[in-house]
Amino acid sequence: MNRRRWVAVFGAFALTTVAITYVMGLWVTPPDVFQGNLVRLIYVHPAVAWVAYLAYGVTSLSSIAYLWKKTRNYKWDLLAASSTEVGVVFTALTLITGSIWGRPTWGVWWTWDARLTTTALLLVLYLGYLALRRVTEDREQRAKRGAVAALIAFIDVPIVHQSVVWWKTLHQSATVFNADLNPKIHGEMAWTLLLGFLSFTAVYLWMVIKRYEIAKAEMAAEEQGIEEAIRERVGSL
Amino acid sequence: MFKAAKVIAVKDLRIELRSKVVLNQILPFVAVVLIIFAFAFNKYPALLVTVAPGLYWVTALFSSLLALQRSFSLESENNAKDALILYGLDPAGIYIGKVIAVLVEMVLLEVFLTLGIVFLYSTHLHELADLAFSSIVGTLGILAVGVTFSAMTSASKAKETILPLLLLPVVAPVLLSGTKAWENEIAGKAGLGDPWVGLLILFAAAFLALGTLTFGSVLEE
Amino acid sequence: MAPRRQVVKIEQVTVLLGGFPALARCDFDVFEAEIVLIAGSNGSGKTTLLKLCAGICGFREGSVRVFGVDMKGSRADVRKFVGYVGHATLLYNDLTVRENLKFIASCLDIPFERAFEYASEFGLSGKMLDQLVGTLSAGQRKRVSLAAAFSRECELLLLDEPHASLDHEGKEFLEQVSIRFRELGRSVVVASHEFERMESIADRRYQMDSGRALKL
Repeated sequence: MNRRRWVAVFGAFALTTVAITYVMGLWVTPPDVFQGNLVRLIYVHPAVAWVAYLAYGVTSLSSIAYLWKKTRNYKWDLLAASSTEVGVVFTALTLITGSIWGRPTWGVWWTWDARLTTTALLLVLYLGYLALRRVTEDREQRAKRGAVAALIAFIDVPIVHQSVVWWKTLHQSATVFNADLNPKIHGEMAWTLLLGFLSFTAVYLWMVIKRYEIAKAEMAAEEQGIEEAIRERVGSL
Repeated sequence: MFKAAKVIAVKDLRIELRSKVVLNQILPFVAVVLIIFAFAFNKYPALLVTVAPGLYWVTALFSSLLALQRSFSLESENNAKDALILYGLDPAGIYIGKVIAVLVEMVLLEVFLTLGIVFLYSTHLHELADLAFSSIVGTLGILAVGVTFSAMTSASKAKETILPLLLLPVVAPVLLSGTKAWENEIAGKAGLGDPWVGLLILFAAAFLALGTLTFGSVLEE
Repeated sequence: MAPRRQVVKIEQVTVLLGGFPALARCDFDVFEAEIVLIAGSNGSGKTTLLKLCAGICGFREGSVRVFGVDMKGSRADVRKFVGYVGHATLLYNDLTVRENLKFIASCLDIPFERAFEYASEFGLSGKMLDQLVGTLSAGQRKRVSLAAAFSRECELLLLDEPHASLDHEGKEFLEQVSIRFRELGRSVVVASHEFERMESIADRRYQMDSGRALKL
């Protein structure tokens, strides 16, 4: 099978796992004693948030790889940009699903809680990164400046998080990561939760691969245009 | 590096002495903002005292955007930025020089801003030295990121709009910590051991280091 | 006679400006102790060629060597030996002529006096030194930036349209200083539409056409 086929198969796999997560989350798992059916958001919301962080992690690593002279290659820049775009989508999804969850549980669509605020800042932070790329025309400049901006964001996120946590917090403390899959979550619920993480991560990978390939194709097309323009200029003499 | 920083800072401040853009345009801007906030809290003037720390930092942040834009528009006026590269100045030195020059201007603006908050909003300040320290460190943090972003965007078409979009989310911790530090200091609760001041120091140090290291990549065409 | 040292060697270089090949497989040479003239219509690539030699412009393919240094690597080292005057004056409008020259001198680590000597050679002295650059005429500003560039006493001087907005007297000064530089073994590259102007003192000429430099 060629690469394209592999990507298509992987995409189908990712979407199937998401579908299974939905079936499990909506029908197979039981409602919560306190939260009722609302608890079903737990199969989506944390997984989506995890993917957003994963995406920005990839952005940071590939930006560092671009800035470091030994590994400098446009591929890293394209990967950073692709991952950020997907990350922004997942950050927005995190905010939306969180908001939907928050309305019935806390009674408000939005509250200035630490994690919400950090996530909102994360969204505008990386929107700024994408905007900077848009206004920078020269390819090399765009790559360098984008990488520096991504590095600034990377250093900023923990500081933002720390400051906002000190500021105030009323978010439920993380239930999954600290526990030995535990009295609170059991059986099929735990499996569905895990499947949610897996499936959204797979979707992320698939989207980034797709976006990256488009970016590469765009660059190739641009290259072709440039080669043509050079030939034309040389030939015009 | 320090020689280049000094040359750049002295040059920038001399230009300000001659052109007085900060004095004649940004300082009045600060005054207008002070008055406008009073309009916004028109019904509850006592609230102004409570929110003064936040207003201080919001105003400082907005005026720093103007000061940064001014600092880099004078470099692109006659392509002088090209010259800085041509003369072979150390990029780290250029970066530090720019930060110092804008910091001096901002300190002037913030002294004025503080006076406005004291007299117009009837706020009582106690720990002046602590207050000055946290304000300067916080401003340094804003500028440490701001100079990098301004250099990146000063030649682009959308320079006026892109700088705030880039800078404001990044310096959110400064706004938060600075406001808290001011609140604590006004309440006489905390000195230099205040964790918020610690966060301001960490922010400034991290981004000064990053800016010094990466300014070469930012500046080179 | 020993063979003359080659100062600039550009081979098959392409430079892109926003996707457009401003230089397309261009060849260009400069040797020591010569005055080279580059003529050509607008958009033929003169400015880009000079910027390339000055190390303030990257390139896509080909090879650029200035003083034997490969410009694919670090261009910063080359810039110390190259003076450049472009269309923009590279001066600060809000500073006086004196302050601008002092700033440039301290950037370059050259004595102030030298910068002022060159300034007076270009007819800038006395009261004019204390005028703000922003209030000077275009020709006067050009003289300031020429004086600043010459005062670096670089081995290679690149002048982009130096005649534009210069008066007759200014052009005379420019010619005299260029000739003196050549006698000292330095090279001067001049891009200009006004071919006749420097014709008499030029050693070699190039004609730019469609992003390439043709020897005349």
